[in-house]
Amino acid sequence: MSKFSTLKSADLKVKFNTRNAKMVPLTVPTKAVGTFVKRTKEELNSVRNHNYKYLIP
Amino acid sequence: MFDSPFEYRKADVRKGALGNQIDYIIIYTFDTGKCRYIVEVEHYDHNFYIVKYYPKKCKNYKYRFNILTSEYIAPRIIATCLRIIESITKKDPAANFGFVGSPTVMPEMNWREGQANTKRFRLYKYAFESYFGHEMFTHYMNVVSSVYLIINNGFGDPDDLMPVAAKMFVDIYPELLQ
Repeated sequence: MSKFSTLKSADLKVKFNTRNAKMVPLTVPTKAVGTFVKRTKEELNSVRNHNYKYLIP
Repeated sequence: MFDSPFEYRKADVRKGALGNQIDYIIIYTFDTGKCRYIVEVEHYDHNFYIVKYYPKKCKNYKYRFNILTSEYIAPRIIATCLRIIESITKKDPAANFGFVGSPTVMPEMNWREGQANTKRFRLYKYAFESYFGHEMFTHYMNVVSSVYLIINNGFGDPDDLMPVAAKMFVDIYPELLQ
């Protein structure tokens, strides 16, 4: 087994800014729901950063 | 922000017995100067490609998709993944793409980020909005599950493929989408 299999995030000097993140205990199961929403051309045009050139138009 | 990609190379293509509806996985690697990263592009039914990346030194770590490395090079890594997506689109013009914004996990503190609208999801969404237009792809997002899909406009109605793709995601990530 690789020596990295027991790697802890502390070993990676993890820092995590929790200001903008909703944190939950790790023991809480991940059960997200929700539906996919189609994004309109107008919405995409309004939110995109126009300083960037499209890689794919 | 995403204009300085690392130089990447295609390392391998894995086929067979991959399970979870994966047809094959294309492996790319790149070096950041401090460590090597692995990019796995998984190919699923309906020509969907899901892009994942992690530091090579963490390849056997359970939370390899959830950690923060404090290297502060996320924009360059994401830029590299965007260029990989661009290269795949040139080879496969019918490709569809997607990503899951994995929640950050701090196992030593027994905490993790909630699944809805994660930090990664917000950043990747910003990249997709800015670099992939609406001419070639139709964009869909599920904020609650932090999943984003772009479906090719040139091969049928994307709205017809969307429910099929959503069901496929439920099968692939049952813990994520109910």
